[in-house]
Amino acid sequence: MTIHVTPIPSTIDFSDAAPTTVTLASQTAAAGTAVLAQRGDHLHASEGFGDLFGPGSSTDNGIVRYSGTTGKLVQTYTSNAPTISDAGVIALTSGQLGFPATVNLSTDANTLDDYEEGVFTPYLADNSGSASEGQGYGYQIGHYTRVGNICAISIVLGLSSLGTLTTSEFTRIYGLPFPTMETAGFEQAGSCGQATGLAITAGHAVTISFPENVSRLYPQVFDSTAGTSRMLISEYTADGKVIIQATYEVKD
Amino acid sequence: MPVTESSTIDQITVLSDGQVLVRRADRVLRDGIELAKTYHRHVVEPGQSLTNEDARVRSVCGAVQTRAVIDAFKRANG
Repeated sequence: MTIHVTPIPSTIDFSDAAPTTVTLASQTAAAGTAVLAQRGDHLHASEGFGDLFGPGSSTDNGIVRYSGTTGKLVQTYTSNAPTISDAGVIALTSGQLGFPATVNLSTDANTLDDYEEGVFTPYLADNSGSASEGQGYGYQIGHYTRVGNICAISIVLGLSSLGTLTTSEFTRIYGLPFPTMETAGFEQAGSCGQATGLAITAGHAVTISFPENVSRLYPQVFDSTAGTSRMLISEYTADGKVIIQATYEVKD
Repeated sequence: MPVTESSTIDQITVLSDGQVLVRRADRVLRDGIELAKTYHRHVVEPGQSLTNEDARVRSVCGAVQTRAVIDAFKRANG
């Protein structure tokens, strides 16, 4: 028997006496059907008023999602259903969490609001900051990963020619993907793990610093009893190469 | 199933001090469906050369990085 109820929406009241019996024509729930009344056949042992049932193949603890076509059906996952445990732990079994291509910044200190990975093109400059002084490169590689307000960078920068860079001026490496944090006096630092071809004194270590609110870094040399000094272009030389790994706080 | 590549400036962000953040999206597509995407980023500080910049980036920088903005940025950041 089929009961047609019009107009829509309409309400059918059942007796409050338990158990109320509503027997579906097929006796089986269609995949993705929401059953909002108790049924006589009790397909699910815990079935009760107002329960929402998904497809029979539903993943235990799976997060419910709806069909974009009908807007009513609960969909299954083709694989890797995300779940929320009874304790509220969200498990991304696909291993992927997507963020929008355009950041939606949060002011909340406990909210992760950005993830992006990509590349950039570092270049060596003197005080002019120009990339167009005939510098030549054997290696000019920069990779970055930004998570929240932290940017991790890896740089391999090897010269093949100084061009017309002024050798008496300080080295600057430009091209960072994001400006550094803008807080007066808040310089940051990173490490240079390997270098070749430089003209520095044996035993002097190379390091880097980030000035605030710019997209560049400064190579430094531990060459004095007081600490570091800025590396000169003449110390980098025409075949100098540095490998840099660093993380820095970015300007939001 | 032709594989094509595209390279577009997909994001230009202007900061209050005139710095312009540029993101280029390099995509590999098969039949118009994206197979891979890589971002390339750089920042144009006020006063930096615009010679090699995309036309739209030059346009934005030209409007935002006025003489006063460039001077103020250089005073603050060298």
